[in-house]
Amino acid sequence: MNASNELQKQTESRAAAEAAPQSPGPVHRPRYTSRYDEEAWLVSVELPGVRKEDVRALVENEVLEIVAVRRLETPETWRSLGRYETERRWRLRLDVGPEVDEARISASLEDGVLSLRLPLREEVKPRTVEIH
Amino acid sequence: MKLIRYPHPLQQLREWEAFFEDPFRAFAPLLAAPAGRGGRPAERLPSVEWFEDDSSYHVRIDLPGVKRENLRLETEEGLLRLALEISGEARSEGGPVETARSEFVVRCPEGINHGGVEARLSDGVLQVSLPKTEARRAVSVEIA
Repeated sequence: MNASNELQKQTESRAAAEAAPQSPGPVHRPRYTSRYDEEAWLVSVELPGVRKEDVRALVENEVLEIVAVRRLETPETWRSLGRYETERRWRLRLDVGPEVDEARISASLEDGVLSLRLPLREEVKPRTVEIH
Repeated sequence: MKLIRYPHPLQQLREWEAFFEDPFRAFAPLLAAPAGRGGRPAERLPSVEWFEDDSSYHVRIDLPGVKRENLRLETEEGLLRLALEISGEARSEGGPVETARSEFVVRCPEGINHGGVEARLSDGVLQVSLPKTEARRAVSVEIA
């Protein structure tokens, strides 16, 4: 196992530990959309209130896993009118298949939406065949 | 890759309306049910969390992907009115730009000092603080 795999493993186990409900609280499945632009899959995952340092996306064995936790500051003087989750956890696992070039996956987080770009491997991109 | 197509979140705002209509009534059963647990319908509901302290009510509404410039917030007696207008990216180059418009209301408590309402949108979460009018504020009574 090479160093980057090792690192990924560590990151994964840490993320998994963080996603595990220590305090009782469910792990939600975030809402997401995906589309395809011939070069890549573009996936948008809704993670409102999540900061960059609290989300992890990893790919292993053709599975993309996104783990996120949101920690919103709630002043002590606030009394909840209903129930709320002091921490909300999300986990999403997507089967990306062998056509995705895992090394080139990129992600950005903006306004509570995680945007992932999963580029396709050269050999599986659609090609126009010229007809002579 | 497994693909599940959801409508754009903004198109779902309409569906949320019923939910936003009366958050207080909904408190017990609906807001208590964490979104996403036990079936699709819950997954579609946005999170709305209400709080109060001695001087204000506070509400947090999840609006992932919404930017400040796309959101307009108005208050009137017992209501918070949210209007969203977002121009999506064109599906193809030169194609039409998709614009989503949505409006919905959140019922809020009465006795709000509307001039003092403050709102902040960050990371896709809108937080609104609604100061209570003098009459609504908690007053501690000294016991002789």
